[in-house]
Amino acid sequence: MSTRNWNRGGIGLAVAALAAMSVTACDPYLKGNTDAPVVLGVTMVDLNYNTWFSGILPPDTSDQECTAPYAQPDQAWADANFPGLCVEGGPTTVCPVLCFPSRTGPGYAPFYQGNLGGTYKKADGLNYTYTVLSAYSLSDVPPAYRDVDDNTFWYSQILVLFNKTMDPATIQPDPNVARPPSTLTVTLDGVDVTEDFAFEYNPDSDTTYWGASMLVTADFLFEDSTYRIVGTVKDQQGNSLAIDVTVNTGLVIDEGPAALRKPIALRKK
Amino acid sequence: MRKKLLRLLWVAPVAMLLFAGSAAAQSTGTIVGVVNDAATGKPVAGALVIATSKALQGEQTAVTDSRGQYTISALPPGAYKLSAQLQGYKPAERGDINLRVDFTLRANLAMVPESVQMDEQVVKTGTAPAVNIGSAEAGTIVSKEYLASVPLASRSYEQAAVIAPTAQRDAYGVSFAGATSPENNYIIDGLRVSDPGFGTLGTNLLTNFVDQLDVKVGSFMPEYGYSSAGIINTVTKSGGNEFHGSIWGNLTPGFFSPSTPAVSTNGQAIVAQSTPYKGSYAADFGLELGGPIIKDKLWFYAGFAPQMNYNVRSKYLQTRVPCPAGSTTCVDASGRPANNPAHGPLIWAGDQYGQFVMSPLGSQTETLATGFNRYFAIAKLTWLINENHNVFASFNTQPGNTYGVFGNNGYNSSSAANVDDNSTNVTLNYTGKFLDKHLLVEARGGWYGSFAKENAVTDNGVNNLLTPAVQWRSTQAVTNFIDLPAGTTCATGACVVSNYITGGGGYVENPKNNRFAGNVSATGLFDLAGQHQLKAGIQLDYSTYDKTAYYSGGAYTRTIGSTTGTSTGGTTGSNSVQLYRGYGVITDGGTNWCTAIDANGNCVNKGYQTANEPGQSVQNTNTWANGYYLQDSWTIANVLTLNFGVRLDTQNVKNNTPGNSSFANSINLNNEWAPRVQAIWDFTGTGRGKIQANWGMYYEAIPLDIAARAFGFEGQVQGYYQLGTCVNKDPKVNPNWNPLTSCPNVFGNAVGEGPGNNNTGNVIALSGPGFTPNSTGFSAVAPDLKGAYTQQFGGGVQYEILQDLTVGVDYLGRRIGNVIEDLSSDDGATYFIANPSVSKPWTVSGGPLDGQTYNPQSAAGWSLGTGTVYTVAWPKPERSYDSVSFTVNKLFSKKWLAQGSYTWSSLRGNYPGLFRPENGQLDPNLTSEYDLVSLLGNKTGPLVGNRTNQIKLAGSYNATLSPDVTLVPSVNFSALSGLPVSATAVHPYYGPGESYILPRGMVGNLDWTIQLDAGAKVLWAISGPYTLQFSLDIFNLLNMQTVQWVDMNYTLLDSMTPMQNAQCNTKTSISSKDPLAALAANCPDLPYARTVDGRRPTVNLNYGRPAAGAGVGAYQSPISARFGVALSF
Repeated sequence: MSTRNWNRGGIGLAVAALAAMSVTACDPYLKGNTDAPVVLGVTMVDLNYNTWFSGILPPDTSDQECTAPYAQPDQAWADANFPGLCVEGGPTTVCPVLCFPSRTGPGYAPFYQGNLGGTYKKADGLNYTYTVLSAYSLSDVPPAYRDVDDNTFWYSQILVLFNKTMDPATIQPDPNVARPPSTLTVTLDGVDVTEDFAFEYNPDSDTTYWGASMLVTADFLFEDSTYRIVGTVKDQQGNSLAIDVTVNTGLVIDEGPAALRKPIALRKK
Repeated sequence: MRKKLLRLLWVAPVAMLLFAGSAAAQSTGTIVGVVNDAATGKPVAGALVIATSKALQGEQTAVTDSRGQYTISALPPGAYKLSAQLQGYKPAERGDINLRVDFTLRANLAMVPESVQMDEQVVKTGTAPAVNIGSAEAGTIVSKEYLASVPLASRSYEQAAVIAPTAQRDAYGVSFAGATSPENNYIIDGLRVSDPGFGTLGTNLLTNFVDQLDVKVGSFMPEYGYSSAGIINTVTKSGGNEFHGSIWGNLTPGFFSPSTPAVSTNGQAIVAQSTPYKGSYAADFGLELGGPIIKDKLWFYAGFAPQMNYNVRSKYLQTRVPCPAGSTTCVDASGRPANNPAHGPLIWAGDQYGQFVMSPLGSQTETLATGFNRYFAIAKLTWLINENHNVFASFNTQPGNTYGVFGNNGYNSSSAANVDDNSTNVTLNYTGKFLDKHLLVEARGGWYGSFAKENAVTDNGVNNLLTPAVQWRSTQAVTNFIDLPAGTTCATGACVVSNYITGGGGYVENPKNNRFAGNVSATGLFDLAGQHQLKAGIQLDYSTYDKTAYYSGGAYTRTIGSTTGTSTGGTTGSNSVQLYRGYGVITDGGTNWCTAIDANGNCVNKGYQTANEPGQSVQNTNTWANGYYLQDSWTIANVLTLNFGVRLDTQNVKNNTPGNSSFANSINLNNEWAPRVQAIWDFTGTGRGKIQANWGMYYEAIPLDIAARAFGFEGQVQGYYQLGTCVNKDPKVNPNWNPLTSCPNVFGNAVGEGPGNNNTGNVIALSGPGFTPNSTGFSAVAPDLKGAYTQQFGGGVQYEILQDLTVGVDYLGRRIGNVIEDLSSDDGATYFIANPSVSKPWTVSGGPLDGQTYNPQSAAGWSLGTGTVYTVAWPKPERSYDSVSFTVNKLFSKKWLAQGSYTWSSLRGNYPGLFRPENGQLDPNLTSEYDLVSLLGNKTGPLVGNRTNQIKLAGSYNATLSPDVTLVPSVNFSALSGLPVSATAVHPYYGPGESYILPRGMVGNLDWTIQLDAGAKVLWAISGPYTLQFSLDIFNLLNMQTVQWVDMNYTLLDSMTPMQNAQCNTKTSISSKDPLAALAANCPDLPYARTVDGRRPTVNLNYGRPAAGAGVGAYQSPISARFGVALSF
């Protein structure tokens, strides 16, 4: 076989390889997400929350207003922009404005901090724009809440939302073991309590502008305490991201029926 | 003013309908040209040009104008001869002009003055060019020579259309350029034969009866409508001045075909395998005759052909066999690795086997068959009144019966069917020429009618129409339903089935369709800075779709429990029998009947149904779909043709079920303006080449399914029974077990009380507990709703490099514009019909939906995982198709023909069209695609029809072996790159396969499908005009059995939210022996994916394995052979 044929074959292979590479490079699905990783927001999630079967919804009372940092939305604006969706007493899950009276309640808007994307009009006529922070701090989080029907919500899961999917190994190296790497820690009033928390990487993302999330979960949180998650994680492109999340708990909220009322004590011993 | 204009447009066609009655479609062609003086090159005015053909009654003539130009239009397709005569010139002639349907061919003639001395008395100018210089539309012609010689696996004519560039089969027909086949317009002899209810092909025809197919892939002019995709315009055979006929028979015995690989669900006990060698066959025989009743005046053509098809398959059992602990070499019979628990939790919690493979259990348990019989009849009369006026009438009908057992995972009675159906077409066509042939008037009228009716089948004592279907959803031992083969045993939990169905057939629908259609058009031929063919026309189309639907035995029931269950608990879990769906008749506790209630518990559909119509949904729907168009074909200097025009479509779609009219909604679209332009440059000046460009808008003709489902009340009732207290529920003892009559209601109602229970009158009082209305339908319609359309654009070049051999390269783009879909902006609480992201929010005023507000712009989804609200805008529907095709076409001449193409294409978006290819949901404009924003995550990507590469080549050659014997070898080859594969999960509301956990197509593409069909025919002229033909066609000669579809359900049990930002390192996972393991390795996020309630999903271990899809088998059909014999004259 002549060298010339080999050369021809080599050139052919090179052309084919280049073609394959260029096709691959153009494939939007294989093109890595090169956005810098950020934490979009932090929220508390009720441990008992069950999307489909609980039938338990947060309180829906007209006197519940948004709490800082969120401002009360303008009702007329909401009616115009989301007709039928932001109705007082309406379905609690359909108003796209994060902080709307019908959706306020423990575990929801008051305890969410971060960037949901976009802007809404406040009651004072000015716009409120969700923002991204370098450190997040939730305040007055009730470790538990019992509603008037004697349903109890346990707010001991901290959800840290990213803008993209992350390197699972930097959050939960083993998908079947909910433990973090040594680069992530949780402290309770300055004392390392990482062992008491499960760390889970959740790649599910409901929208294109939200990404994966990290779930940091304990059986319960103590009242009047400060929990802090710090450390470093990476995205799948190797970019590092510092995590700094503080959760300041308040007191348990107990609105259960008097006849059924029983103390929920989550005080530190 | 506009109203007056519209009114005028209505009045005129109604008047015309009195004598006409159909969808316009060209069934003829046109020859144009210039007659020049051969000596001087100057045009010859006043020459008489005469066209003659065996396809033409008499002759058609034209006189050249001052520029020597002539036009002869309305010519039936066929081989023509042209001659020109003028005093002072020798006659000129050219022959073998192969005129095809809706073609414009240029045939110039040169006349030699008498003064010039020549040996020949007639000047012959050679054959005519084959390039259609009158149009820029994309597509191809499938000639009768092609139909007769090329091996075609299907005997139905429309499948031959796949030879067209960009065409491919989909679940309901042949799709073109990225669209779905129900968007097509199907035309036979000028009559639109698309199914009024669903837009699919409404009429089958054997290829023997077809003269040619005009396959329009796209970019057609305004005279063609009712399609946002392609058109299959079919011309049936006609008689002639000589008697011709044939008698034929074809047989495809299954004996020569091997079985296909078994298709099973991994871990499940039941396996089915096509075993054609056990008695399958496909056969047809028939006769046709055509000839003159009065020569050159009145011709007839008639044919009749029965067709029979019988398919055999075998059922087996398989069992799970544990792999040795720690084994790394455990593989199943196909070489796949064992099911590895590391993929995730096993498909059944607590599975005791760890790794396992599947192994056959004993011998075959059952042989099953399906089939159909059909009887085609066709007739045609062609009458030439005089040279300027002709009429033809066409009729065809094809009553048939489909029968057999179609399912595997249940009792035969649950999937047995016996369905009678038919479609009949009658059309009358008139063509007249006036004003010295400068005005052409065409009028067509026709009727299309079809129906289907399901008949009862009794199997093992179970009447499939009178017994409710029972779906046993949970996984349980197969021995709960059937006995194991003799001498075999199953370890506990090793032979299991899920979703096994006993009882009757479930949903039954008997539709009836009608269409009355007519069109009138006028074409004026005149000169104004060139030649013009100005055409105006009106098309009227009134269609009805009436259906009666019910559930066998009155209800479809399902249970999570076991046949041995004894629990008596509540409405969920293993204790319940759910009356999942039943058409009930509800009373409000008094004398009012209804099928739905409002929020206050009042009937909202009083009088719609009566006690005499128990448990049925009766829907009567109709639509006026009219088209008005004006177009001009302007040819400048005999080389440049500009086609431009506009079409206005109006559609009124409504439900007119008696008693429903006062509430019924409807779709009224009166402003579907569709401009279209084309430019064609005959760069040869002789009709042998063209460069073309085109752009146009094409509106969808809305099938009536939406009126039946969205504008009429489908009053359904749901309820629960207690499984443990049901009696006689052992299906092996009582295969016709009826939960409705065997179970007390969960809320304590008496046995026998329930919806759709034919034994007790199907009456449910609203005041009675236990059953809840689950009405669907009566969706609000956006008041500013606009028609659904596509934009098409393209360009290309064609050149006739040899006589009748044309090559070309064309680009075709297609973008979907507005779509019409049902939406819910509140995540399923309410639905409405609108243009997603286009229609404006509105509040309903009056009627049962008074005060309801709908928002097609913004929608709220909520995080399935966290409950947080997200998304404020509907994503815009997207379906983008781009292709480049290289084509070669050789007309049948000099003993051979060929058609071939290579197409590179890209089809991406989030909206496939009028049906959902992933599961076959055929609900035009009502698919689940756009119902909820939570369904749209990850849906943008390569759509199912995305075959990047298509190579097609077909042809035949007539080899003369002796003066009496001709051998015709033929070939039909295709190589199509594989379909994209996705990974789906359960959507909490919509069930399996609806939630894309990875971006669409991320898993890779299936392998190329290569099909080589070869044929040979021997034509033996035995005596006089008689020819005997023997034929052998071998399909899939290479016996490739490539996987055509795979199981794309990553989990069948768990609801998961799309991972919209998931990334994968490569798109090759489906090519791995173990797609699940490859997917986990290639997509780092997947092993961490969660269910909506935070668990790891229960992975479907069958993921990525061959499985039957919607309208597509798991594997390519194996090699088969068709033997044919025919006697023709």
